[in-house]
Amino acid sequence: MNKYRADVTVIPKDGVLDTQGKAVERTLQSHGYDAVTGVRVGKFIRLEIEAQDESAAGDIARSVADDLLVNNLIESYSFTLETPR
Amino acid sequence: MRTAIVVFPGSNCDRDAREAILDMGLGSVDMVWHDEDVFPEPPDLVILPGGFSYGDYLRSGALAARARIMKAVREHAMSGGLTLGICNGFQVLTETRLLPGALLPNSNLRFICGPCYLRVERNNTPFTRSFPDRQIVQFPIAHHEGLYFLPPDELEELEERHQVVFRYADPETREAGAEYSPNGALNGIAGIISREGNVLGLMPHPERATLKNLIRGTDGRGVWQSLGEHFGVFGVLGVREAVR
Repeated sequence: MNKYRADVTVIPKDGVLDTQGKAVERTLQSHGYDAVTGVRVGKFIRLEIEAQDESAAGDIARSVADDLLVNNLIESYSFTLETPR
Repeated sequence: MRTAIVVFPGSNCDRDAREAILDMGLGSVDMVWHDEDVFPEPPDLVILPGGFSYGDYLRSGALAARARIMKAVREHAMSGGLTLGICNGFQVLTETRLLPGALLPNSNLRFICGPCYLRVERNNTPFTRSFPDRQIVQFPIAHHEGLYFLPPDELEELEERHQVVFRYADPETREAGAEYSPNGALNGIAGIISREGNVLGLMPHPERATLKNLIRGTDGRGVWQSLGEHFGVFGVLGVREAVR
């Protein structure tokens, strides 16, 4: 078995009101960052997964995200897997 | 009538709900810890109370929705048993998908606590049958995640099926809708019922508007009165009405 590190990023879906993102965006613009738009505030979750190989670790990461980490009505996610050294 | 109130770590309106039910004379109450597998006795009504279950970690209601007792709650609800989720309990019901939608952070990003006015949109449910049609009621609210959200298509379906039971309203004009949402809730939605009509979730707290001489208002009594009538507790129906 190998140990993998999954970094899961959860973000509000397009069309879902993200009040935190809006507030951050307004503040940035009031600080003169006119170039910055489309701010979305989400979550970052790190997991360690024991699995036979990277494909199996990916399956577990997806399952964990779908079961609990993400509410797919309002959030979408992506993840990266770091392979063992 | 037998009520089971589920207690999660961080629930804080469980005892308010019990006091409300006992004050109304609605029969016995079982306080059921989240880690139990089953209810001590088959309940007529299950209440998921307000509070901050599991510290609202991850998403409000997300961890409570996966608690051990929730299998029994789901079975109760799926077999037609009356289920009432108040505030955090509403969030738990959406996380279990027993009710559609999600509760997002309030549009002003603040915790809102205070009296609020609602219009009873349906009085043909077991939870609202004692209210006059389109009655304006005052229940307090206390939440940070109360913005009811559903994607546009599904929101339209929800409205078409008349699943909105409570809507934020102006007590003077008696109008209700999004412009009266203290939290940005779409269409002013404060409470909804399942398609089958046995699972109700709402953000405001009827149990905190029940005991007399406690805080402003006792409009919440209408909810318990309705349930008592539904189950024949007050003798209105003469015989106990079976729901299952």
